[in-house]
Amino acid sequence: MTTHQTIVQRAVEGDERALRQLWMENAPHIDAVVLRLCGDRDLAADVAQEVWIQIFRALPSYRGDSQFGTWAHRIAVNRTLNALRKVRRIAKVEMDVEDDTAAAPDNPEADTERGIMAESIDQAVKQLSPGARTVFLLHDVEGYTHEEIASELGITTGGSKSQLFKARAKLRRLLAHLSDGFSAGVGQEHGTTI
Amino acid sequence: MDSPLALDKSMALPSKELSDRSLDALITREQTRVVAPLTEWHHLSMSLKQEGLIRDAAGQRTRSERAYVPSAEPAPRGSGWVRTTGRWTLRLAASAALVGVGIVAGRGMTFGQSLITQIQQAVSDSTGGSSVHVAGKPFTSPASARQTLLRAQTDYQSAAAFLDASDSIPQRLGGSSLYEDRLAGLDEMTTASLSALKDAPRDPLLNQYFLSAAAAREATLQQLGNSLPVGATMERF
Repeated sequence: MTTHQTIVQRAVEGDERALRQLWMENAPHIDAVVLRLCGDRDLAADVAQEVWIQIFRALPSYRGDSQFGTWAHRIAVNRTLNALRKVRRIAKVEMDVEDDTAAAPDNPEADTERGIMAESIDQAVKQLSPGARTVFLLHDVEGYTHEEIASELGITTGGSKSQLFKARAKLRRLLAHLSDGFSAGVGQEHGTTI
Repeated sequence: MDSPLALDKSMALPSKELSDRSLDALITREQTRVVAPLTEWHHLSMSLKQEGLIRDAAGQRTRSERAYVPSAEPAPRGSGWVRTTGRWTLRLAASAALVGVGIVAGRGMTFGQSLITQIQQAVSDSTGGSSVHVAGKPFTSPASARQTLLRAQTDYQSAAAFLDASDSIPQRLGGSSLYEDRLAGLDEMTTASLSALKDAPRDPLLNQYFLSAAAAREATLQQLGNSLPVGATMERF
């Protein structure tokens, strides 16, 4: 049994040190997922607490087939989406899939005039409609397939693809001003500053 | 994963839009982003105890009665070295502090110095260097460099934890007092790094420094618990 398996086993048995070690090692990544999906630090803090309780509650079902972080990541996403549903944010996501008129205008000129060009991708993501934002984060950042997203959000795969297309198009516009500086750095070893 | 790249490219307006390649690079960076924990273990553990997920250790924790009470006061925002030394000096200071964390946490000097060298090179690069090579292996992208750094950090922390667990020198040198002094120092470093992160929350170097300090603090806390006399209890940490 590896050291990591031993830690997990001790955590399953209720050893606080082992539980804390798993939390310390994985919280920076897991909490980042929660924060991304929630988009609000205060809400994310509450959700993160729920997420970690759920992870530890489900720990006896962890078989070690994948990395603990990967296994916990799935729980974090599911639990966060459930929590967001509770605060009726996902309801808007589902509505947006059917009617995307709620999204901000898809006009780059208008965006620029309104002064909402984003300084970073997380700022830009916050300017997407809830539906597009969730689909983009799940697909492009968290690595979910459209089928998984459709199942998770209760939408069609076509709706998921459509939202992703809109999300990426808008992000490219919102981040357009980074283009020169960023393109120069892409593919090079270092030197990119966003 | 499916990708709408073909459609995107056909509609792209180069002068008005970020390229797909650049957007993908930003996404890769976002995938590796980490944050300081959003919850505190103290609060989480209370909930876990209420759920019965933490075993009642009353009968097992018989080692400590002395309380270790670290400084609970966070460093005032805007004061001290974090505020006054400027962005680049701060990065260098963070690097130096990480060196200190490495030394106290692991005492695995060969491995530690390897990481230290990587961090120093990363700092050098972030201050204007044009390329980074570690052990003769050139990085091909910022993402690969970050992944290597994160992997090295994880390996280092695991190795440090192992070395600490099997190290008997502190007991010979005076037992828990050594760990108490170390813990007090790490508390200050963690507080300082958190303060720095408030000013630059997305700075990867500062994030890594914070995580390293927090991990070293955690390891030291466990060592302190193991080194206290039988019958003592750590009431606060």
